[in-house]
Amino acid sequence: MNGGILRVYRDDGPLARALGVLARGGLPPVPGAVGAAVLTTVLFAADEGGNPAPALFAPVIAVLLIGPASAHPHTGRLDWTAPPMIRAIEYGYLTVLGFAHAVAAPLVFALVALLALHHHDTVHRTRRGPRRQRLLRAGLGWEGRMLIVACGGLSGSLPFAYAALAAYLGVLFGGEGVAAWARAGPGGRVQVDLKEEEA
Amino acid sequence: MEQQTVRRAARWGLTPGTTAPISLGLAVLAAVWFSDAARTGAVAGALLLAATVVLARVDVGLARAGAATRRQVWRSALLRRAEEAIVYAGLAAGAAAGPAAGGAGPFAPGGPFAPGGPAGVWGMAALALVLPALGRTIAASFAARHPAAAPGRPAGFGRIITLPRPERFALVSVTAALGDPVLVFTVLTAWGGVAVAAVLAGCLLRSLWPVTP
Repeated sequence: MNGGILRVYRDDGPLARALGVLARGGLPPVPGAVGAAVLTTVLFAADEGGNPAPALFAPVIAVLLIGPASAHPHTGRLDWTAPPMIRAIEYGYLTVLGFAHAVAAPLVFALVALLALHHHDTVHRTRRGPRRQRLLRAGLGWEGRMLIVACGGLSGSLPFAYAALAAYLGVLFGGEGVAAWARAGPGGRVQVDLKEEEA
Repeated sequence: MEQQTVRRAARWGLTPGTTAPISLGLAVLAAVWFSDAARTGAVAGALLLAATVVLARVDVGLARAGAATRRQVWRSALLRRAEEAIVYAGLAAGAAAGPAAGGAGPFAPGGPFAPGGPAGVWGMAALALVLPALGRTIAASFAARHPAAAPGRPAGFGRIITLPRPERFALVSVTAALGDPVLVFTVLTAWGGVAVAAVLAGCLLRSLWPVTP
């Protein structure tokens, strides 16, 4: 049970979902995620100013390794480690790539901050029920965001890719926030989970 | 004392719907003061930050008293994440604009997170923001898979180790008032790393050797 929630926490985009459908949920999620984390680190370590930088191909490897497990029921004892590993890969990739390739530091920070908001929203929204999952899909998925940045790097416009992605996620959140504000009316009283509110 | 404050806030007509935007406004002001990189700015920012911690307590108290709607709780939680990012951005901007910070801690000597390094203080700020986010993902994912074994609200020593948000903001407030942004982020990243390791270790232990009641 509850594998469905973990699959939402993974924050897979369309490409990873498609690979998962192809693999029919037969592949366990943890080995692929560990492999992707190791290979991404290796590609960054191997980055010695080559052109194109090897790290730009890391998202392709990551989606090929992690994507096929996206339809797995996530019922293994340690399968809960897959979403945190995917998060770590995404955060690590976007920050290290941005700083290593001299993207404006505040821009990298802004993108990471928006991602942290998006991921917090993913968890919170899923706990509160399946409503408005559409917005989560509009976030493009972890592999979508990494691939956009990598494509920007390959075409020599990495700062533009960071700016476009940050602007897109910012508008997505700003719009949603304003809409929620406008809709905010009397709703049901809730029992507040203090642990969740304070973490 | 806390109960009194919450009751007084309720009498003033404050609800979680109003405290969260006020708190966000205070955090923005704190960030503006921090970005000034002067001692007065740091102290003013720290005081404003302390005020947001008090407001967050009031917010939780009001919500517990049943004055919150589902959507307000969701929005408060999201606004608090935004506050954190805004405050860190202000601190990083102050450090980047201010006089070169002296060699401080493990981040100083030529490392990627050194103030003059490729990532600079913005890298430390990003790390300080990402570590608690990772910790939350670990805890939430573990709780989704093993709901019965999920650890409860940390208390006492556990709170000191995992450094929940109110404690984290208090730490930022004190270190920002006494030191400089590099000190703030050095403490935050080191402590955040320990916290994530502790959460991860706890969850791994619980899933490998489940305690059957």
